[in-house]
Amino acid sequence: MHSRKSLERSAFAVASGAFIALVVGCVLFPFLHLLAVSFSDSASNMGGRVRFLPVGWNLESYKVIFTHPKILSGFLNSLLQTSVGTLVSLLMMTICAYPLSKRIEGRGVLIWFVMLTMFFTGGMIPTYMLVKGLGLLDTLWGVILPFAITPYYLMIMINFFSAFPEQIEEAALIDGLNPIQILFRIVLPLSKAIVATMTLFMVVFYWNNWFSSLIYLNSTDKYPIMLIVRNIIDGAQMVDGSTLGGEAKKYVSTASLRAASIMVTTLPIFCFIPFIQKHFAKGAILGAVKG
Amino acid sequence: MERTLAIGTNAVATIERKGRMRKLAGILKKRRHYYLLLTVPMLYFAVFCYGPIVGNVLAFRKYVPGGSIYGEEWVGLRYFKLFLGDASFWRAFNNTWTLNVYHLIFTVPCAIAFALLVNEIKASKLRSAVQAISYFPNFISAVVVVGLMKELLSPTYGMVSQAFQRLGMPATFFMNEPEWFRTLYISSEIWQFTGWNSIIFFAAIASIDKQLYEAAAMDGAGRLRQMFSITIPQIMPTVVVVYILSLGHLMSVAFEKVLLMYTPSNSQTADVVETFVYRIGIVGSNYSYATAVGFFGGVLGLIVVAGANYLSRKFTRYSLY
Repeated sequence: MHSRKSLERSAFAVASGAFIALVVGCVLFPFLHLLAVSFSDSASNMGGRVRFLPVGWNLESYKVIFTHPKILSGFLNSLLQTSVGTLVSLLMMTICAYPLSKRIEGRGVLIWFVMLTMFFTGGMIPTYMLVKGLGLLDTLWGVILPFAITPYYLMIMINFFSAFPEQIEEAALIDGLNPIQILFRIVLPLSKAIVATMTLFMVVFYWNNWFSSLIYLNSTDKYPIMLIVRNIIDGAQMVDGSTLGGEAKKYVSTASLRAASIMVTTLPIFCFIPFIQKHFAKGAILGAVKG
Repeated sequence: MERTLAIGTNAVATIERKGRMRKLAGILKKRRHYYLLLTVPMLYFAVFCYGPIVGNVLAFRKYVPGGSIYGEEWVGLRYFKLFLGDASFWRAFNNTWTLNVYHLIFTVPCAIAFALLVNEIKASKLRSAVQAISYFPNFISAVVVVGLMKELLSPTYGMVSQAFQRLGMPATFFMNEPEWFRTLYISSEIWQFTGWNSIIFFAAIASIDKQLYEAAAMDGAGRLRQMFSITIPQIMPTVVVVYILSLGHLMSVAFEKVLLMYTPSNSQTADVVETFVYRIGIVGSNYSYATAVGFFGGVLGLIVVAGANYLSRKFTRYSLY
């Protein structure tokens, strides 16, 4: 009896160990492989000899990427889109969610007005026509504004603000602050979990967003890095051998360029996540359970 | 004596009430601040969310280049008749729901299984580390995911593709083969979102009463037995809700990923309603025609959501509205 149990326990330990290794391996192996590819020379990559360690170590692909003017401007454009977009979204969602978490007149109607847009959306073409009609084509705002408020995240924020202890706000109200001052001076500084979660979601969204840039932007010098990476991967905008000198050709291949461009665009996100990890799990669960 | 005291307290109470009323009036006046805050977001919703909804009238109107974005003249159901008679529309339509049925069949069970297995890791630090790692792919751009697939599956040098070849499979250009598209799409969705999708099941598992497990352990149930006799039955309501709600997405796919994976050679299975709309509308500038297709898809999607919600309300106590 006792031995059967301890046998089961050790079988479980082995099984769960194997399972952990499997999950971690599945998630990480493409990245480890591409990291190795990005540092390998052309012949080894094209011959498929690279596994998880670079063969013919070199940094040429990264040099090509970091010195290519289009890619540099792509990074700057992405930074601009991400920072402005995140700020606009956070501000809009905050000033929308906070009043809607209060028992104000007409709250029900307003919430319906907002939540209906979760199910009714205009669709791709009417949204495109609107952006076009507003004269926002080929501008930063055309890329950002259609996504400024995500109804689902808004719902999470309303839930969060509803749970905010009322006494604090009442005390501030009696001390003569108006609700706008209360929101920005008292409630927001005490809502780090939700602000961090939303920041993460919005930063990731705008950084990863390439499709709206594809359809709303015409000038290639405004393209964000993700769209450029997409073009590199598709081979449509190859920073290829023809533009490179003989020496670089030996090291840089399509594969290593793709791998390097994937690495430089994904690493910023990976570095960003751990900082807000502890907040977002909480925030996401909050939304999943309540929303 | 008692009476005067009562009157006295009454007077005090009146004064207090007056003071409170004044304060209340002040608070009510302060409510205008809430509406002030709401003006910009509400304007935003009116323009950027309801504007495009109204913009669907374009499906019934003829667009003239340079003219109004709402079209110039009524043409009735002309565009609807056009696409309903278009074989490539029906191909896209069938591909959409087929892809989503596979998606439903495979992704949710993976998330459940993942939550159940990770839950069996008793060392809490290790467990949250595994969870954290499993969340990572959720934050990766579709561009990068498709890029990873193209690299790993390249018939000449891709690592996965080579492994298949070593197992005796002929060299295949996976990303171009129509019969591989669905497999690749679904497996990449599983790779990317299983960790994230399992969050709701972790929450469900965490809310199970611990006493159930204690009682089962007393009765001699091992961990496998506890999983099948307690955990799974206890999270069943959540599973049902998740399933019913995901039914609502039957007409929408991860459009960006499909567009990135789309090539003319795999279009037989990879062309879905949204890529069809993109190709006709944005690439081909047939705005009215594309709006009509999008509108049709949207309305159908709504009907499915409403139906799924009805089912959910009937069989579980959860519903969206």
